[in-house]
Amino acid sequence: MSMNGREKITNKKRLKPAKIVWQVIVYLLLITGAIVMLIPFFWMLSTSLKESFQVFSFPPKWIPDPIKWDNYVLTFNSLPFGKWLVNTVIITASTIVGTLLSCTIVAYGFARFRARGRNVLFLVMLATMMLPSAVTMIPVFYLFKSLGWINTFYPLIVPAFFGNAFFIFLLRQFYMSIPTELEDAAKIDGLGTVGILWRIIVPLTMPALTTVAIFQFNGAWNDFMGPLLYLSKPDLYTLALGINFFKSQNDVQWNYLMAASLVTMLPSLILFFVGQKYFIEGISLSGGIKG
Amino acid sequence: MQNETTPVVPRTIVPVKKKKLTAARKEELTFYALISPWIIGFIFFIVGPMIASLYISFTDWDLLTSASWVGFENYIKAFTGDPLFWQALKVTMIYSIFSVPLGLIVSLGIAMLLNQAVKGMSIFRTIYYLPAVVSGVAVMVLWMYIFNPQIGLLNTILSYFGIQGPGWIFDPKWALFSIIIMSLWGAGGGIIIWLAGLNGIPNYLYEAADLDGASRIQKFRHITVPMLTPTIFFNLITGIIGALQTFGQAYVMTKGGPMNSTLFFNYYLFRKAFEEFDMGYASALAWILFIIIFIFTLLVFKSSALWVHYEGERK
Amino acid sequence: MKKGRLFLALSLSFGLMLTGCSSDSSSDGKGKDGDKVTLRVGTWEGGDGQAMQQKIADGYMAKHPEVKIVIESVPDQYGTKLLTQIAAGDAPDIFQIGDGDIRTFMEKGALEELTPFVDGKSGIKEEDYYENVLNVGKIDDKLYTMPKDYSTLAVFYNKTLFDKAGVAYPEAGWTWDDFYEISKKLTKKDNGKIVQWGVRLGGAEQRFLSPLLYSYGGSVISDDGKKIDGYFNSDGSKKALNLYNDMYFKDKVAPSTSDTEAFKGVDLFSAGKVAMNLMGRWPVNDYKANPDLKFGTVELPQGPNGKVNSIFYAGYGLYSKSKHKDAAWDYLKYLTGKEGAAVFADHAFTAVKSVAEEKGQTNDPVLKPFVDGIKDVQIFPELISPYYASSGARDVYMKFMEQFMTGKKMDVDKELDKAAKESDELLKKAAK
Repeated sequence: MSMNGREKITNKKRLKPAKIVWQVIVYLLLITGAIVMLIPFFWMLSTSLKESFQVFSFPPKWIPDPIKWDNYVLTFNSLPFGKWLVNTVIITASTIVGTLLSCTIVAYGFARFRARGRNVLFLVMLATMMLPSAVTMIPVFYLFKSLGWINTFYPLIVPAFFGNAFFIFLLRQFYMSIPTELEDAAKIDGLGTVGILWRIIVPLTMPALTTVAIFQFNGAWNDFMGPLLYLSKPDLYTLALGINFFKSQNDVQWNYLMAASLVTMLPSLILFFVGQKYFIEGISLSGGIKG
Repeated sequence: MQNETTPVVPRTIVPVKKKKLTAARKEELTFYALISPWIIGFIFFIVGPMIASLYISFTDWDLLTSASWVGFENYIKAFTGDPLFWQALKVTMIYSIFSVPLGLIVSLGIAMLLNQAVKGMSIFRTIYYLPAVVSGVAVMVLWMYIFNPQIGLLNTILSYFGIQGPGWIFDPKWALFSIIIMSLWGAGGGIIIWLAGLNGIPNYLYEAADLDGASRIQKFRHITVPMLTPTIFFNLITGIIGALQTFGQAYVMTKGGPMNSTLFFNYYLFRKAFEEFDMGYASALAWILFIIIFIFTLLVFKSSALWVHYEGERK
Repeated sequence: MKKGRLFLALSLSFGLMLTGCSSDSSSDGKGKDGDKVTLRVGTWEGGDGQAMQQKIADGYMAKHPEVKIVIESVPDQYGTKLLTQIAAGDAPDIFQIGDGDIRTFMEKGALEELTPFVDGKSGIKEEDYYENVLNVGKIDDKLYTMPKDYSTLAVFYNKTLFDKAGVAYPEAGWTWDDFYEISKKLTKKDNGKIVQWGVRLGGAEQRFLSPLLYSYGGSVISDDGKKIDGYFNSDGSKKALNLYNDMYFKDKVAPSTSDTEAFKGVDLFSAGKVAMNLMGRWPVNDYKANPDLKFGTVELPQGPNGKVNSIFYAGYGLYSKSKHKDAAWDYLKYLTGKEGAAVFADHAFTAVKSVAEEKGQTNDPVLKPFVDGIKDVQIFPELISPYYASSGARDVYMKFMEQFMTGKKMDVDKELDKAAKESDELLKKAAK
């Protein structure tokens, strides 16, 4: 508390012209960037409210005339989105649990424990990200087919429980940034490896874990190739796969596709919006380290 | 050093220096116990397909009939009889050399901006996260509005200065450059890693610096950058791995053209595999790319001891 | 440690959910309904196209309760998925196939030969179909795929723009010279900037270029598929390409690639920015839905060597390793025969003559020019030679055309010779 109080005082003291100019610059930059980031979003919104033949009119029209709100009704009545939503939630939630569990543990191993072959194994792990998936796709498909996993969610979920090189690497970096003193103290207090991981490391790296969760959510939620290869029955489709029903070879129903895409991406945005809170929390926690 | 969860170590090991050895051994066993999920997954799901693709790279396989062993023929063909191989390599290298460092700088810059204490920041952060989630088609339309040689944003701005802008992605000379610009826009999706890294820096360091009257730039150079090196290291390595395997832009926007000026290596091998039915050759290309990526990664990895600073490293 | 248990319980429960969701995982033949045969049909169509296929399947299943048809719709990355399935021995019994892949799939033994089935005894015969459309599925007189739908090319024209310029509507029998003249009249400039083009051409696309090329006596490849040198760079080809060059870059009667690409997705014809459009039938329904557009269609122009057209075709093949070939053929027959065609014909051209007539495709003023074009169809190189794509010869063609389309000054004849020789060598090397 005392720390916060001091910060407020220093803030007030410095809220002078230099600070104001700085804030104006920050806002200008932020707003300019935000406009660029928002254009594709507006295009999606505008397209989703148009008649199909108006989608690519020239000159481009940003505000549809007429505004077809019922595109959304048509979109969501035309396909079994409810079923697909359930499938997507099952897959996404399971992979998040699997990824967080496995990557937290494995990354801790790589970050803190000295062992022969550690660096070699770490490089091997990085190397698994280096081979283009186009050439392993068929062997992987064959593997899952041999296991009888085609048309099940297993190929999409089970691997998540065995770690993911990208996230393990990410978490390892964060773990290695935490001073070891806390752990050494905890060890003296009789806390075991799991206890230290759960009570000290995990709380201290909430921003990183949130990042992993957000990434994994985004990846699983929008995954296209995985469901495409392994799920051939419409009952098992995910949203990312299902919305492609609005596409045909020569004919894409852009308005419906964009309506479906917009609604599909909302959870990702909401999760991100909510997840930020944990970044902020991360600050106060790491501020407390000095104690 | 009492540790309830580490497995009991067999007593048979050299009796002298027993205690020290046991501690090291314990640590080693803990290490392997902790990383075992990954090792199991690696053995079951990853190593098999990788070996399979390595084997395929020594065969002639059209996906429809059975493969036949051809030894090093695919590799020899790549290096001696395929001009597009070199073109694809060149495109990928140029792209990576520019986009990786620029991407790091731009995304760190945005993250610093988004880490400022101003009102409404959570909204701004969410907006900047949009590139990671909006539909690829919408992004493409955006760039068409920007790169359109006649009515596009870029050339309109240039025309105010009396400059006749180029054809951007429609001009073989400018296409790759245009794609590099595009890649920077997408950097927004990766800012959360930077944000997490920035928020991992303890506040007391800045407070101490404030008391010493340090300037913004000094704080950035002497606190932010050193404390961020683990994140920089991560983004650099994954950036290299990602850039050298760039696929989407070519697949979605340019199909490698015009005149092969955006023929990315990964896209080229995909085309060989699934459009020209030459999986053997595609696999050889993939393994050549693998070696290249591995070498670059190893270089950065080896150099990391010199510049990456970990608060809690156990060497 | 309580939280740890919670975590474990959570993950276990997800595991259980998984088991619940995967109870029926039969990807091969017989399902759990006793003797019922399950046929899998692969298609790249989603949306309406997929709905039509479902309708046909439902119609068939109502008559054949012993058969269950599962439609596997893959609107994106269809080829990747199909090849992966074939490589792993898990492909659908019947799958949709694009015209460019037929030859390769056939030569590699992935397609069952259908000739024995189409002999009249099974209820259908070759004469039921437009010959030139059926022929796309044939190689060396053996039939491998059945036609789903097709399109030829024709010229759409914007009646309003023609009336405004006082130009008479084009009529069948016109020549490429007429075409060029009309295009010039309908190209409008304002302050040196083009505000309306005479025509939209197909740019580098080989099948859009071919009608011009072949009607001037040129070609892309020899008819036996063995030579390119002397064909792609023949006098006829050179004449045609120089004309094409003039249209694009001398008189600029057509929007260049960067013009059209820059309006990605925008249909310049629908927007009234070009007066004519050399196209297949695909946009017809959109054009009809656009209240601001009054248009007609006319057969392609002819050249010194007569009238030539191109065909775009989608068919169905029978997987050679299907476990239920007879059942699959019976459905394939239904799907591509009168019953299926009647459903597809509402949105596309059907190869079944009787259905085409019933559905008015042969006398609808907008559609008739396309149907009339069937007799002039010149078969495309991917079907002539299995090596055209895989040898890299097609890449050379594309590279030449992309360079051509950049509009930079080039010696067309010389570059054509170079491209023809280069692709000829690749073709010969691959065919060895």
